Amino acid sequence: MVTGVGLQQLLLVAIETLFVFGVVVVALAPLVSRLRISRGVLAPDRSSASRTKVGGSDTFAPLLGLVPVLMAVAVIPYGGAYLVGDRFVSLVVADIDWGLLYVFVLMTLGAYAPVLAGWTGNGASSLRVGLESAAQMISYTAALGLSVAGIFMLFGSLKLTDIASAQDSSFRLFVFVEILELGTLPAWLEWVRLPNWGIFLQPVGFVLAFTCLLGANQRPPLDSPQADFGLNALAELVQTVVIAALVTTLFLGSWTIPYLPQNTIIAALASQSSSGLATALCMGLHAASFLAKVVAVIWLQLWIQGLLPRLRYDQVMDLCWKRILPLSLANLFVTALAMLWLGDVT
Amino acid sequence: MLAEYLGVLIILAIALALAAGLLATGGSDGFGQSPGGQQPPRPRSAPALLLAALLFLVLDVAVVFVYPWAASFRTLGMPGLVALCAFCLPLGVAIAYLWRRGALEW
Repeated sequence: MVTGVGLQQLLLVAIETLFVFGVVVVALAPLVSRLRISRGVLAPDRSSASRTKVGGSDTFAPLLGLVPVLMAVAVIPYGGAYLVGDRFVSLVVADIDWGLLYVFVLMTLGAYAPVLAGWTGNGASSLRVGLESAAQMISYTAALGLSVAGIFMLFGSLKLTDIASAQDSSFRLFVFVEILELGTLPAWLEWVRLPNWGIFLQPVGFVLAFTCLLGANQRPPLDSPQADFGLNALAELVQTVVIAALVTTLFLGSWTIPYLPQNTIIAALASQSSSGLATALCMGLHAASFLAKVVAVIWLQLWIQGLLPRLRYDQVMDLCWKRILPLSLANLFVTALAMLWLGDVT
Repeated sequence: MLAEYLGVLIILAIALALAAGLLATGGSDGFGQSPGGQQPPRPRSAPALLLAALLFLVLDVAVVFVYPWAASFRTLGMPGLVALCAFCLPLGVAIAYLWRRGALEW
């Protein structure tokens, strides 16, 4: 047993883990599948005319892809840090110092799955499809690392709880006008504030990272014709949820409520009731906010899935190497210049 | 700090239990195994896939160098940015060379 870890803490972590699994993944997965089978713009465009059989679902391969994705849930915070009694409680299963890299590592491990599936599959080209899938996944994972570097620079930490709490404030949108001394700002523009979310601080980074996450997990429209049911489908559902959770944490302010920092909420609630109840209500509000954002990003993924046709493999790789990679390098430089010139506006 | 990994272990245990359960109850969708003794065919474009792996390796090493720089960027300031430019310039030249030579055609 790890030093200092008692049975009580083990139980606490186990309950938290099961709660995260129960609510965030398992409860949202049926929602995803219900949205998938609805008609209209949300209906996925997956004609079964040309499917390459890349491995039966009774093999080990889909599970090899499922386990790392499920493990990625461990570091995603679904609530902030609250003072309960005399200690701080963070609503996260594992608050790892290098949480962001932990997710990338697991994503890279997931690249083994299509290789094994292609190796064991029927058909003359299943191995080729499997290897191409693996090549696509590692290319997009590397591009993802560069795309998220801007977020890392801005928030200064790989800890997802730090990134989430840093988004719990707001910044003045037109502050660059007075820093760069471009002129005087009309008074009515001075109060325009945006939440400190990654999507407002790194809009290009958001688009790049979202595309890279879709490509790294082979989500439509960057996927290849594969078995659409069985264990592969379960892995796809979980991937959808985990991608949404990660995007929410990095770019959409995670559990934060825009313009209402945690202290404001707790103080406002504590004036009406006891501080313990105020903290509990705040926890509930933050968790609900996180869930709402995750559902919104899931909806976004399904909308894209139904809207855009599948890209050809060479188009997918072109997108990664010729478009996303140079753009993410440019984003890195622009972010660095902006941080130098505008100072620390967060 | 080490106690945080307890959560990771628990989630790993739950994920493995879920996977084992799925495997045991049989998630077969009718595709079945390939016939015994059949040799897997050669991929049509093996060199291209090897190239993808090599490119990923080079790019990932570059990303590995960018992250510590990004972590200490606030203290490095403008000289740090110049150093990164000096690092990325040969990398950019290499990528441009690959692009022109058609190595990025899939």
